[in-house]
Amino acid sequence: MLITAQNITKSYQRKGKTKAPVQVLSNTDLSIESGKVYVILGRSGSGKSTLLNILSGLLTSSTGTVRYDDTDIYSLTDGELSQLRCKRVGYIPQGQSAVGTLTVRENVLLPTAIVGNANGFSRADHLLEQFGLTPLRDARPDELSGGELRRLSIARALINSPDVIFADEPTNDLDEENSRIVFEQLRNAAQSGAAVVIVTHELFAQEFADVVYRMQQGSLIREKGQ
Amino acid sequence: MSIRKLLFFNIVRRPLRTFALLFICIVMSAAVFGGAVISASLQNGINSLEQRLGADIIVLPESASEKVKLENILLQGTPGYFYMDKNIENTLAGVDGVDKLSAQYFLVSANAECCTVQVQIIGFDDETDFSVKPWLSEAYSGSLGRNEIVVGSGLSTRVGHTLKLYGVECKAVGKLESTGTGLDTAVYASADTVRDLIKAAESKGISVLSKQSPDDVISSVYIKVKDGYDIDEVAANINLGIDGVQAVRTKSMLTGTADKLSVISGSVTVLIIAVWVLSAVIMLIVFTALVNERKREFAVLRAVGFSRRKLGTQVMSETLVICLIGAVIGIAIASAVVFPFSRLIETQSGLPFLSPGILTSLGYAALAFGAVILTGPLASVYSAYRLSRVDTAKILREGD
Amino acid sequence: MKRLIIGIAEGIAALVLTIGAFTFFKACGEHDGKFMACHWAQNAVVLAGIVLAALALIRIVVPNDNIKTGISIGIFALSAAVIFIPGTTINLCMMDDMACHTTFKPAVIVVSAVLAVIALADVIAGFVKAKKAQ
Repeated sequence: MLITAQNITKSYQRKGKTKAPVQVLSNTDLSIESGKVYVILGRSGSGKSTLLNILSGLLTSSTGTVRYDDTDIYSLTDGELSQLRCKRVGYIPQGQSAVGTLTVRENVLLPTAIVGNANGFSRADHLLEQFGLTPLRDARPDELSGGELRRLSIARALINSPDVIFADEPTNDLDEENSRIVFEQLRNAAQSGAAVVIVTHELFAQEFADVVYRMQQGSLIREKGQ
Repeated sequence: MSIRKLLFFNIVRRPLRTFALLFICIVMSAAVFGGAVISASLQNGINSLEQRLGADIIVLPESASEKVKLENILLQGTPGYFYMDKNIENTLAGVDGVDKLSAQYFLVSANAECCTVQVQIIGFDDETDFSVKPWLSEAYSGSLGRNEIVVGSGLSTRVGHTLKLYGVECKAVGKLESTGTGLDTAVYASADTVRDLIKAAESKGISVLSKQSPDDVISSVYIKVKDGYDIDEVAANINLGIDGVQAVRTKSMLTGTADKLSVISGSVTVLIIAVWVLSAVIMLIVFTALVNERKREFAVLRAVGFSRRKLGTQVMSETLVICLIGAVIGIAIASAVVFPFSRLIETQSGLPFLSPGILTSLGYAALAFGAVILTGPLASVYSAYRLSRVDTAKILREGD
Repeated sequence: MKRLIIGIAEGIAALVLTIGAFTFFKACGEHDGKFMACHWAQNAVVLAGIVLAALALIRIVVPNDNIKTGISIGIFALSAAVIFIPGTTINLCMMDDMACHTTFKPAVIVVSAVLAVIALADVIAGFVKAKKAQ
């Protein structure tokens, strides 16, 4: 068992006059294992991204615990958690997420700036090759298309060979052909041992999944897999 | 890839942002350093002039224009001359409260050998002098011989070299320390030499600016008052007791200059503070405005695994590096203006202007440096805080 | 592009030195048909300035990067030498409150120092570029 989330709830305080709390997640349990692809489907606003951010440690839940192996991530300091996230988690955010002052290759290398990675450069070149970005390695992000940017952020998420990869709507602005390429590559990452958690509303993503959940009004419903 | 490289790329690959911040830092450090050095130079100049004159009272012929002439000689370096009877020196020696006195004789050369400019020649008494010799930076031994001169620091003539005055080769045996005043371009000689010069001029048919010989007349008398005597009282006694002369307190003669100077120093100080405050405010606005623009960039860094502390450090380091570079450039620019052009400032302003020494200047440089590298990071503290607390999850979902 | 900007900066600095030396920061000039000592220093600076401006122009026009670097080495050396013309190599007037001391000398020193720094930056940029190209 890689990640266990137990009894997760998340509620926000509304900013308006009413200040009524909104419950986004209620009593959610989830276990993530290595080498599997998890797909969480759901309409926008259903809370699936919130769950992803809680699992990846970017967001703190209102109640419940998230454990990486035996480590309760809420017991860690910000520095320790960041370190853990950098080494063990690959995060593919929604939308454009490249740093504008860096070239494609430097963007892929970005996570190695924090923890250091002796094989960083060769691994980066390997990933660029794998994602078809080698001709663009010295280009700046503003010269790239949407699909290329997406592949860039996947390559970046893989640079430190993480144990788990979280992808938030990784195919949001892509056509089906490019979307399939992205899912294919995430599938490959799982085959080389990582756990992959994908939040999406693309139904065909199920084809690539070992386990499929549907998020409905803050609760997870399993649709496929054990 | 390393944090340092990331920092470098952020600075170099955002040239507009970097230049804007750099410019503010340059203006700020140049203003603080340049202003401080100018203020100090003016203060230095007037202090050195006061010390240099060394006298409590200066006695001149009794006429308003003579006082102005003396001020011009001292402050502007405009050569001038005026005379009174030589016996006055003896009369003055008898005045109660006079400790030391030394007479000087002013002569103006028609031209010197190289340049068609007038040179102020000051004849002084080697034995009684207390206002010239203490300021010799390269001393001569014994007494000043015939055709031997002491030159001000502003003359190019070196010790051991000669200077031709009215065709007479005069050997420079001493050089005075710099005062930042008109005294720097004067030539000092003994009464004998002055007599020779006048003779030489007459024999060459050069119209000497004075037909009066140092045997009969003197131009001014420097007086040091005995301890325990009131300087104003002694001056008043001279003014009342001796006809045809005026005794001026050295301090009061410099008052006009000192007043002018305090106005300028005050304005410079106000200017420094204004530039400082303005730069700080602009920086604060720029940094705060940049927060929104850079939120997404920092959210990405956070998502990739930067801790809050690392994000904050990143912002502060960027600012610090730019401020360091800006401060160095600003100080260099101010130095390139204030130090080489100090003589120009002096001649144009008519104020004594003496650049401070290396150590003092370094002190002011450190002050300007400190002002910039404190102000910049302080102005970016708020933006560093905001950027290190970006709501990563929310910003990354907002799309681009 | 970057090197073009540096080249233009070199040209401007050389022109300022040349033109300024006999206009807005000129030395003492002549009196009664007699030139003062500093006049020869001014001539020397103007001559050096013309050579520098010509070099800077060639430096901009020549397409080869390595030749550009070579010319900039020359510009650096010559402009550094110009710093020592007024007062050190060629005498100026006798009194330091005259124009050649108050304006001409400091202005020549500052402008040629700036030119030397720009040329040095160009030389370094040239070497870095040459190394990258290898």
